[in-house]
Amino acid sequence: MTTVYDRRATLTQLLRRDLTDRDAVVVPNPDHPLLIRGPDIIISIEQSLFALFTPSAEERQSPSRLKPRFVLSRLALPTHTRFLLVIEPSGVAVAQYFSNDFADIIEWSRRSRIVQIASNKEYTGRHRDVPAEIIGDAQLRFANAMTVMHIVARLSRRPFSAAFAETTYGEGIATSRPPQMRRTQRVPVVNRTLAETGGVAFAEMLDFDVDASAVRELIDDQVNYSYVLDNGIPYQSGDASGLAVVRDWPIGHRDPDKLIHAAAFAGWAFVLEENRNELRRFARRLKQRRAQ
Amino acid sequence: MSMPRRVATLRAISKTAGARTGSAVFVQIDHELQELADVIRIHPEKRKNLLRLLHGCRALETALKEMIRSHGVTPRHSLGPIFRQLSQIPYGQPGYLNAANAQRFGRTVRIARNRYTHEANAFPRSTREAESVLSEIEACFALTVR
Repeated sequence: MTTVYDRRATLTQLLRRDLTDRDAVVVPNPDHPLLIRGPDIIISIEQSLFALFTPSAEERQSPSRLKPRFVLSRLALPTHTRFLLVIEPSGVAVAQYFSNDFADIIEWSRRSRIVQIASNKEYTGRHRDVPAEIIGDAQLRFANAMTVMHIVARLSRRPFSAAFAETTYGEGIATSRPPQMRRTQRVPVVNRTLAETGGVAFAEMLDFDVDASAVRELIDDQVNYSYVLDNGIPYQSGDASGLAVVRDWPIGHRDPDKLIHAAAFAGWAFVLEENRNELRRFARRLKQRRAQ
Repeated sequence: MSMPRRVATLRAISKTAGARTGSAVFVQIDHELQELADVIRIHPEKRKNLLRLLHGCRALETALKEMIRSHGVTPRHSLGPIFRQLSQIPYGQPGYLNAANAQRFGRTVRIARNRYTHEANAFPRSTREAESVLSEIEACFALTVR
C-alpha cells in the first residue's frame, strides 16, 4: 500500500528530475526554525517559492488538523510563497475545506502539473500575499512570548539550557547529552476564561512531558481558535496568546530551543511553576500591542 | 542546530530573496550556509561548534545588510546600528524586526561574534550553547529574510 510518505518521496524525485535545468532547489520535509510542522516540500525557483502540502491520513479525515500548519506556514514563510495542496482521491473533504485558500489544488494523478506551475514565472493561481500588517502582528506576538519566557528564566535563574543535562568529556569541553524523550498521550486542556490571565489562554502542564507532540497540541488548539481563513489569508479572530505552566523548559530533539521558538511563534509562553504567582503580569505583557 | 534539513530550508528561502532583491551577494550567503552544513563532520567538537557559529553569524550579518539595502538604505557597519535599522523598516515588510526582537537577536549575535571571533582560544562552552545561539541566529534569519 502506498503511504503519504511514499507519495512525498515520489513527488520529490519528480520535481528534482524535471526542474533541474531551471536551477530549482527542492527541499523535502523542510525544517523551518519557527515551525514544528510546516509544508511537506518547498521549491525555490528563480523569484518564486512554493510550499507543497500533501495531507496525512489524519488531516484528510479531519481537515481542521491541517489548518494550524497551513496558517503558521503562511505567517512564517515569505508572503509571496505560493501554497499548493496535493490531494489523493480520498482527499475530497480536505479540498472542500480549503477550496479558496491554496493557490491551487492538484490531484495526485495530475501531479506533473506542479512542474508546469513552478516553471511559470507569471503563475499566481488563487494566491494572495499575506498583508504586511498580519506578518508584523505575528512577529510582535513572537517577541512578546519570548520576552515573557526570558523574564521567567531571569526570575527563576533557570536559563533555557537548565533543562538540558550537560557532561564534560574529551578535551574538557562540555558536550550536551540528548534529552530523554518520553511521549505524552494526553491533550492539554486550554482554559480561556481564567480571570487571572484576563482572556489570555491558559494551560496547566505540570504533569506533562512537554515534548513536540504536547506543544503541537497547544499550538493547534490555539490557532484553530484564534484564526479564520479568508481566501488563504489568516485573520486573527480572537486573542492568540497563551500561558502554559510547566515544570521545566521543553527541549527539542535536534534544535534544543525549537519548541520554545515554535510555541512563541504561535503565541504561547511557558511559565515555570515557581513563577505562577506572576501570571497576571505575564498576561499583560503578552497583550502588549504595537506602538503607534 | 544547523542540520542539513534546516540549512536546506534557509538556503531555499535565501535563494528566492536573492532573486527578488536582485542582489548577487545572496550567492555568497548561500556559500556560507552551505559551509554551515558541511562543518557538521569536523572534529574535534569544539572546533566544529566554533565554525558553526562563525558561518552562522557571517550568513546572518550579510543577509541582514542586504535586506536593509533592499529598502534603498545603506546598511551601517556595526551590528547594533544594523539591528536598529531593521527595526525602522516599515511594519511587517521584508527585513523588518520589531524593537524587542531586534534587541534580543542583536545581543545574541553581538555577544557570539565578539566572543568567538575576537578572543584568542575562545570556544563555545558546550554543544548546547552553540546550538542555542545558532537556533537564535536561524530564527532571526527566518523572520527577516523574506
